[in-house]
Amino acid sequence: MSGEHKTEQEPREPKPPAIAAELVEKFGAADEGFFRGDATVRVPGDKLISVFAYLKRERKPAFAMLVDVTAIDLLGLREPRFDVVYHFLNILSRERICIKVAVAEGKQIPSATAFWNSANWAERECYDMYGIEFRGHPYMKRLLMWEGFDGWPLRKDFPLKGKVPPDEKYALNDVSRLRRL
Amino acid sequence: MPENGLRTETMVLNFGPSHPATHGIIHLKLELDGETVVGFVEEPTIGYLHRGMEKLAENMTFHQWITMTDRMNYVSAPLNNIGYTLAVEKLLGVEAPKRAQYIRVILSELSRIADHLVCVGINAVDLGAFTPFLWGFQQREMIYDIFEKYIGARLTTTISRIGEMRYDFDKDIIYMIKCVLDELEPVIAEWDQLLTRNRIWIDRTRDVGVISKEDALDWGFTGPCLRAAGVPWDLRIEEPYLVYNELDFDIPVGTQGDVYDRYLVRVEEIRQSMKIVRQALEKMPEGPIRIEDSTVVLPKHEEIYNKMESMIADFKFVMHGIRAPEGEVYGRTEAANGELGFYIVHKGGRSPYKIHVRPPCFYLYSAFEKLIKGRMIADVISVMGSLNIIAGELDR
Repeated sequence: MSGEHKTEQEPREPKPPAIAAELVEKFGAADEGFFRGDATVRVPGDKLISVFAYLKRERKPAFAMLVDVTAIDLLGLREPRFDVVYHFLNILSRERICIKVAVAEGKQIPSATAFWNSANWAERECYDMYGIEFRGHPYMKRLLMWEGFDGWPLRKDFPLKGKVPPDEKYALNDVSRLRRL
Repeated sequence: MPENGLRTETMVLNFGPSHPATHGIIHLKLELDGETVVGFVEEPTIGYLHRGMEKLAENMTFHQWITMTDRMNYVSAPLNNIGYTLAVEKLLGVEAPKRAQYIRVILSELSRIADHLVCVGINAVDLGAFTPFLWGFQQREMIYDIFEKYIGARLTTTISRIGEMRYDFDKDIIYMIKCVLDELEPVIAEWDQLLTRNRIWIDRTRDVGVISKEDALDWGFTGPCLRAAGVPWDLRIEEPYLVYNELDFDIPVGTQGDVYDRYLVRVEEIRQSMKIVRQALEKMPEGPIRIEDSTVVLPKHEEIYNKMESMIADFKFVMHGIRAPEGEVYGRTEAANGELGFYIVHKGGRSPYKIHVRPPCFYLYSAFEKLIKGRMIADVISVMGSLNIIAGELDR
């Protein structure tokens, strides 16, 4: 078929980005492998701030974008319980790196808001869903759920159907009460 | 305090939660000094449309959750469907056949056109220009007719499946697509005449909601808003997926990063998408549209109803889901608003262990205060329309 002009760029075997090896060498990060073209490294919690500083300020070319922040709840699978997952993108060198940090329940983790503004809402959502607090965040409040909501929805021990509110007056799903009215 | 001894103070204005210009339910508390926005009293309230889709994903099969992706960016559902199925295919390590990929490209670009038509149209309506909206909406309806003809649904399409496209393009659909493209051409030209050199439109959009290159990257901007700020970054070119590397198109880039540039970028993207669809229709090879792997792809309809084995396979699929390898992938595609990412963690079993969605407009909206600070209250509307905030995607 139409295969004339694309011969030079066809053999594009994915390679792990250079940054993965750099983080392993400089910060003692553990290489979590290269799966389907995406590299993941695990950074020790106390080195996280220096990793941020390296990615954003020291590295040339710098990682200008923090694409995504989320967490994984590993309840019953591992201690510490949570993994916070950062996705970084470097548009100049076209590198992507996924960084994971383990966090125990109730422990704080340094915020990336001083380095990337996009961390602002992403970390708030992470706090909202998992209850992981980010130290140094300017406005660590719930984002999607309302203020005063009880529980952390995306934790594995949060029931799928939600919790019954303690005050029955606010039980919106109480159909039998509505019928009586 | 002024000389005459009168006290002045700023005013708090509640904008939303339900307001015609918010396009969804979003609550802003603006602090106004006269007509100038001093800032936000507190961070904007979102989450009114939060349906816990990521929680639901942990209890659904991979196939079932495709229907949830319809309900995220409901203006361009096919882009979400295709983005999600590509992420799952990445996890599985499979690739749909060429013809299916071409079909996906065509449907993606059509829905990108529909999304941009609505975005620019509504942005214009908010600023008082009604005609471009009607012009654009008519074409959008015709694009939705194509989706309806193809899959049977208009908005919640569920257009793509894992490892396959359910239906092939027939002559009618190709004819309909060609008709839409032919009719779209004059509409875009008329938009150009109506808006591009329109004094009022320029006054309302030029130098409004400006963001620099560096700030746009810092705030996680992607898509047309990032390109309007002058960064030529488009995943279709930079990290080509589907068959975009076989197609020839350009990505428009702005210079100022204001609302006017976002408008220009979107209009040019419509033109480029039309170019892509035309090429894809021409280059589309004959061949299968599903991979021949019965562990990934649902059996065909006629087989389900006529063959016992296929019926059992279908039942097993629906009840137990596909068997995906354990692992984590971050699948990303260029949706109409920017980078749409699906972070899938799988630890075996029926359901994914976790799915996290990276919605593009979440990050666009988080920079909203920066974009409107010190501007007039009327500019709030203008900027909000240009960011194309889709509440379904923002809140998930």
